[in-house]
Amino acid sequence: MPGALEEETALLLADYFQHRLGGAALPPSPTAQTLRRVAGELESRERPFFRSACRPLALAEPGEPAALLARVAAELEAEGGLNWGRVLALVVFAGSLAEALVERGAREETGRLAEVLSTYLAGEKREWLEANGGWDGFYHFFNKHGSQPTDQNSTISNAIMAAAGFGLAGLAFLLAVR
Amino acid sequence: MCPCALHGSPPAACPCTSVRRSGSGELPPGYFGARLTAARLKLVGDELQERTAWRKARGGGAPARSSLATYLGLLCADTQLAALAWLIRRGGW
Repeated sequence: MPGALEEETALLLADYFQHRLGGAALPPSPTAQTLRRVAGELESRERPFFRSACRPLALAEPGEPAALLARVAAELEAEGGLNWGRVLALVVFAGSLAEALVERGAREETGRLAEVLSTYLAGEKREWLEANGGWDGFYHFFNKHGSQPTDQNSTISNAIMAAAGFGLAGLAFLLAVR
Repeated sequence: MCPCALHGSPPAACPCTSVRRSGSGELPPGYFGARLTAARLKLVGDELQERTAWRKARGGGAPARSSLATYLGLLCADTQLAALAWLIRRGGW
């Protein structure tokens, strides 16, 4: 389906921007939750850089931050191509820029940022995104052991251990009573 | 602040090394261009990519360790059950 990736990308970015700009809504999917979490970790670790890079840009003329974001995105893959780490760094940069714009009172500019980023990822980098499993690939890359079935296995083995433990305790109790 | 330095000195290829800095050591206002920002984002992103891949590679052994722990636990439970059965038979219950 040609529009599915664009739609998912737009949804994920809109949720992340809303989250950065103070929206309290729950994440619409596990991928959105992962994006919020890993982006938050990266933003906290590199906060001085993101702030110092975005504050001057937020003072630029209307339209200029979005144009600069497009140029940064184009430069990002210049050496070594794209990877999920670079994609995440770009998304966090865009989110920090949106935050700086809102602080300056230019909230209307943030929609344009999300649009530029969405067009870049789901349009220009569509092939790369598809080759890397789409946003499911992002989810698996940034989550422990990469998939949910492992967690299910772990839950099953824990349940087996608990059942065995209760059985033993019951037998020991019976023996003690007799 | 140099946009290239992660946790130490900037890399040899850092564009800041060839830029005249202001007196405070900060980059001049408005210097953060697309190339500099992209250079720092690349470093940050590549570091994150490597760290995540390494963590996942290390974590790959975790399911195997979990299965081993399950088997050991079941073995232990079976041993205790066998001992209990032996005690019951010996006591003439």
